[in-house]
Amino acid sequence: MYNIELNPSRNHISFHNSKVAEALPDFYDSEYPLFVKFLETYYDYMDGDANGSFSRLIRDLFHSRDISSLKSSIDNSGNPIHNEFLDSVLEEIGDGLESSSFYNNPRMMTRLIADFYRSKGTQISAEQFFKAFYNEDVEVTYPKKNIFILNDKLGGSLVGPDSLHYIQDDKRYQIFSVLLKTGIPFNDYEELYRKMVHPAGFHLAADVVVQGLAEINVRAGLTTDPLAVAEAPLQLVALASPLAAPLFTLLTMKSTVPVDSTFAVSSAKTLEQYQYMPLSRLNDIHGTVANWVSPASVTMDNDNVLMSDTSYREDADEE
Amino acid sequence: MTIKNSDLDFVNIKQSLIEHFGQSEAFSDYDFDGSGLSSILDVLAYNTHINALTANMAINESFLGSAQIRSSVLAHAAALGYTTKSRTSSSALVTLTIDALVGEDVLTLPAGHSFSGDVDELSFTFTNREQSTAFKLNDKFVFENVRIYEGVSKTSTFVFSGEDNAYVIADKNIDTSQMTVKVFSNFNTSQYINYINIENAVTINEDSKVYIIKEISNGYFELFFSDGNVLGQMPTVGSKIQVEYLRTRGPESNGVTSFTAELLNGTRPISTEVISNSAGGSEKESLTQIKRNAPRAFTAQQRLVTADDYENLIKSKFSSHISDVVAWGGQDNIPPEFGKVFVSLNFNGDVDEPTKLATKELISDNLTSNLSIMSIDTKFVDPVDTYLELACTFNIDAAKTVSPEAMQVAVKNVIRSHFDTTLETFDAVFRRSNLLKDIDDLDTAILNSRIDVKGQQRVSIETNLQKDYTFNFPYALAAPDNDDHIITTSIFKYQGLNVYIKNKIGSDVLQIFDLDGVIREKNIGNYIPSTGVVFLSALAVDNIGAMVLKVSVVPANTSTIRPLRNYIINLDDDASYARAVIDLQSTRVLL
Repeated sequence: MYNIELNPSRNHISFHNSKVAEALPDFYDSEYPLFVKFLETYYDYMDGDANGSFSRLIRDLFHSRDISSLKSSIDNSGNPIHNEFLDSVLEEIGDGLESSSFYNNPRMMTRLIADFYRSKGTQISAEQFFKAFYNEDVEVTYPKKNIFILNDKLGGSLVGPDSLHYIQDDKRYQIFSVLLKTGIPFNDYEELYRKMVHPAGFHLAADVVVQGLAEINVRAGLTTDPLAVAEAPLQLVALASPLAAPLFTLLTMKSTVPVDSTFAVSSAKTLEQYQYMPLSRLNDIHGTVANWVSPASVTMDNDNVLMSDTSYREDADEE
Repeated sequence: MTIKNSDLDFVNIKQSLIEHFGQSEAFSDYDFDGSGLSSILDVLAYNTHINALTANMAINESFLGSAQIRSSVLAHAAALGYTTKSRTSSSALVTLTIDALVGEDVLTLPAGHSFSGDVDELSFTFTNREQSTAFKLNDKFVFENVRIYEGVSKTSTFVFSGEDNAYVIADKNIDTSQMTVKVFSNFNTSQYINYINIENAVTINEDSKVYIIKEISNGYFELFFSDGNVLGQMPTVGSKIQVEYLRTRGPESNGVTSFTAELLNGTRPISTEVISNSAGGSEKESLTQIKRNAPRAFTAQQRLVTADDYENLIKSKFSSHISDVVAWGGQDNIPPEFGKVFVSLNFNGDVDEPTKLATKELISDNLTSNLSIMSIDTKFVDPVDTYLELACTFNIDAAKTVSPEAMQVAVKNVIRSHFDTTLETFDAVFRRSNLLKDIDDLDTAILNSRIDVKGQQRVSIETNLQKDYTFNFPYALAAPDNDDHIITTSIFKYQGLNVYIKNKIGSDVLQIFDLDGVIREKNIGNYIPSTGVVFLSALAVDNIGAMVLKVSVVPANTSTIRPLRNYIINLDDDASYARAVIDLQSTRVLL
């Protein structure tokens, strides 16, 4: 099947119907109905998908370069059938890319590709690259910020893992260096990344980030189930000490029942806020556990929740 | 690429029509092979065929990759912001000397002075495009390094009539890179303003004076100016537009080695010394070149960030002198040099050293300095030739009346042709099976073939001087073998003897042997299989004049030889051979 999808709100709709009977003199209908039928069958043939039918091609001409109208379809086995017009457009502007090169939504990426080229070499282009081709987040950092420089601060300079300052080398820790932290192996993206984004002359360093899951325990009250009774008042009993070494850079959350078990995981940044927050203030902000965990919560689902390398446990039972 | 959306075969279309009518209830019992109906179907199928052909063509012309008509390709390239290249003039560098007259201290050579030169009995006219001035020295005026261009100077004049107008220069053989556009405020003044090609504009603001030149569908060229809003200043209506250009014969005039200058002012002879022969003349960009270059230029977006950007932009702007370009970041160089981009240019065969130097300077001045990331420097390095020695053996059918000797020559020609067409450029990979297929397909008399592959590097030896030599092969080498030598060199003089170097059997140590196989030096170096390095330590070759030492190696993978960076794979014709073996195709009883 052909892959043109017409959107009636933005394209002219093509209502195709036979005009054979109207084009012929009236007496043909009465005198030669079979001839009329013959011509109608012929035009029907040309409008179909059979060999040599060309009406469809002529209609497609209007949309063959309209990226928004070109859509991949799915065959009977569930495999995508790529739109050859979209691939032809990509052949012009994609430098070897095909619609199948993109993880998702090749039409949108085709539209954005010129912007992508213009921003190549920037942090934004790296993030766009990983989203477009691998549906992955990436953290772009510049190791030059972690180079040990003698006497760069009063009281002496530090070097080593504790200070995150390292002696300059001929690879990662030098001025012309870019470090990518993402969840996929370097070999999977290196060639394409170098071709499309990486500024020549810079060392390309890569870390694979393994995303883990940590949990904190928060409980409201000792005798009632706050998740079962959403309006139960929130009680923060104590703060726990750090659980483990840094596990992840991306925020994850998990809520569990019953009440005496774990509840959610957030980032240390968020929890640090609670560390110095009086319970009354916490109550002022959230009121109930239900509010706190709701998507509208100011601390659980907005920009205040920042990435962190550390997780903390809070457990009311430790009181 | 061709998009093929419908079957264009007449017979198939007619058959398809018959099937379609047969499915209709009204015509299911008709005999479509009957003469009357068959004739009608012929007409309908023919009509369908013609229309389908037109529709297919229209679809194919809609895309750069599938378009066949030059005007379509030009339009698609223009949509990508790519200006196709016109013919380019061949140019040469000359130094001119003129005897000074009494009391004359300064002499000016006006632009447009003519020089004539011949190639293959064809005569060409060259002119200088810029005025030069020289001061008297030893009673002579010497104009050094004057660049002269082949072509006939032409002038077209227009009246500027408004922002929407384009001015057609009715000439298909223009070199647009040598075009000058002068804008006179009216027809009565000699004062003018030079407008520059937008391709050469570094910045554009409201005061910029730029023009756009592009090829149009009939092969002529069209000149545009800004509308006064986006692309700088628009000439005032009524201005005189004077376009001076060269009508060139392109590549025909490459290779002129001597020039005769016309007399200065009709009386004074000019002696001409050629610094660099004429080179760089080229035809208009072909459809294939446009289809390849336009998308690449689009990806670069006039920026030099990735290594690919360097390759794409240099290729698209300097292709008249350069056949291929490779670029890599300093991080990938050995040793690494961060903050640098390495560029290697493979020049056309007729380009001499001064022109190569001038081209590199042009790239630095006009391209990399303006478009690359700040603090990233460009470093040019020469291509490195690496050679292959191919020992080809093939069986020929004894029943076929072919001459083994003639077949050997034919196979060697196939090998040579394979290298000419698919190798001898950057990034070109040698794949043994592809070459074997070419050989097998040469003649039905060839039953099978095999090729033993060796790699080879060369170095000029400084004789009578003890010196270290390092050979970097762009691929891994075979590990030491207990039966065969992996490293062998050509023969050279050492301590009065004819000797050569081989690795010790089963070892990476290199030794010097005389022609009788006696070891003359137990350790003259070693080789590292994984890095492809062959190291000769303190080698002192006897003084027999200039010599080139060839080091032959067995690659780790003889099926695929993939060069690195700026290496180019060539064939060593002298060290390669093709040998025919007559195959009786009889089954033997005993081995």
